[in-house]
Amino acid sequence: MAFGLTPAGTITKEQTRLSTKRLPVKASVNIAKGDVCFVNTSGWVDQATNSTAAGSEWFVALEPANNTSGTNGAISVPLAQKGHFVTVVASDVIQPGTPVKIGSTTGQVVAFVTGTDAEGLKVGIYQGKEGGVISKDSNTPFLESYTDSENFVPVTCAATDVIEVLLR
Amino acid sequence: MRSRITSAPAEKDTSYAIWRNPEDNILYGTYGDPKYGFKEVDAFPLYDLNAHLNAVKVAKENPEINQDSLPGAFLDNDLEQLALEYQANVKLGGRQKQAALRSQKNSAVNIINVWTEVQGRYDRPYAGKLLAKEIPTNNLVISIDKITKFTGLTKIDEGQLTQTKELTYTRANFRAVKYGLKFVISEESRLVNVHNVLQDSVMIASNKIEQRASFDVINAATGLTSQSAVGLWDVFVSGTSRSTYNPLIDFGIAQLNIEGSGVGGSLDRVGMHPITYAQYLANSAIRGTASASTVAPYSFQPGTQALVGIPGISLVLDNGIQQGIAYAVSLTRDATIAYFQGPQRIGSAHDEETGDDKYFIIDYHLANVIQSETGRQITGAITPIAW
Repeated sequence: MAFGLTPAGTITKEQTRLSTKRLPVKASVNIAKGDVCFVNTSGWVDQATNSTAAGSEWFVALEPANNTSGTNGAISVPLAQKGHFVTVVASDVIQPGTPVKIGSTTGQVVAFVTGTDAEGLKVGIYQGKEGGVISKDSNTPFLESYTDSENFVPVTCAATDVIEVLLR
Repeated sequence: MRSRITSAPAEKDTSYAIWRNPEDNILYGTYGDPKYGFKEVDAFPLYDLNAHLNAVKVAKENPEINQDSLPGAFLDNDLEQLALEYQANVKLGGRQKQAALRSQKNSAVNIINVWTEVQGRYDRPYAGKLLAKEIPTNNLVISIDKITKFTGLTKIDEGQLTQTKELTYTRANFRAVKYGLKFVISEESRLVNVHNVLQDSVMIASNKIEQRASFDVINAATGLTSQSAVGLWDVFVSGTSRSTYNPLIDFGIAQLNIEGSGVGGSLDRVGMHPITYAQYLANSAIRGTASASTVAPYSFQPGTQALVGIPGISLVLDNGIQQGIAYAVSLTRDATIAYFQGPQRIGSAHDEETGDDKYFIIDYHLANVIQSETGRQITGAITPIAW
């Protein structure tokens, strides 16, 4: 079915659309739209990984920025920052309302484990998946159903889902 | 006196200015601005306006005259070739090419032909909503009164008084739910896109109301009292084309249940998935066993039609209905499901700073079972198949 979901790297609450940043990108980095990023100690934007230092300021790329053949700061990328409701890609199952951190896939998020993970690794809080979606079950009875995750209880997301988070 | 009509050099080899000499009414080309006369700049004749006007006059008088028989107005072969090429380009490229060619700045651009019909805008019909009786409400709350009939006559003995009976009314209150859809058209989208983004967005957004309504009605129908089908409609007696079970029995039982409830409803609408209906039509109790063909011509298009086999019952086909389930409801009298359509509101806002145009649709509605006794869901009618 030709129903399109909002892509990763989109600010979903318009009242938070303003105050985005545009910062220079680190050399040899290829940032995808929707990747969680951080600014390294030299001041260049890089993709966040699960080894990115706790307490970094987290951003989400709003446009792709391919600097694989460029030098430090050769290009810049627009970024959503703290306080933005923005879409990112989940790389695992996440319960709604749960804080998220960077998982093993660069730039993507998984559930934050309270009590185990360092507080500074929290990238944001999972708000929910896009609502108003029609999908067909691949198993019997192959029911075509309508999911409204906007007005009602947000649903648990799966890996590769595009999800809305509140950046913190 | 000279009058200049154009001096727009476009290409290197034709970068001469064109002048009309009012003395002989001929267009001349020059490679410099003549100050005192045409001879000083070696003006060369290009086009005879006298011959042109004469040809126009002759053509008007004799509309069917062959164009080739008219005296030519071109006095310069290169210009004539250029004009013929231009004419051919216009014929080949249509309006876009013509527009580009007439532009002094864009005559050298390549023409991209975009089919004016954008694909992917249309949606399927969402017919599930038609299982419910649509009740418009001015505001959000509506109450429906239901009467409980008293029981009937009793035999009385001589001198005995009958028992008094009284009608009871119950009132159910319903409140419409608020739904919203907001879409934005960024300035860049408007300026880059060759399509009418606003028109496309409005068209798509309007379909979403029907879509939502349809799924809400079907969702309400899933709460109807279940009635197991006597047997699968798509099963045949081994080695024959004779169906094992008769779907008419299932609808008959549903009708007996609905009308037997005594609340006054009557089965007059049935809803099912298009594949369920295809299996229904293929059932030998519907198509007959003597027929060599499978069924009457069938369309998988969602919508309403008459239910083959049971006159007076209309059928709603919708992809959102689960396969193997047939909803049997009353619609015209003592409706089973109501679709309360509350107020709708649309609006727009323009952000002067970002240039974005925002549009929203607010819709209040509620789909709810209002008379559960008059509806049934026949379950297990067919074996669901992947689609």
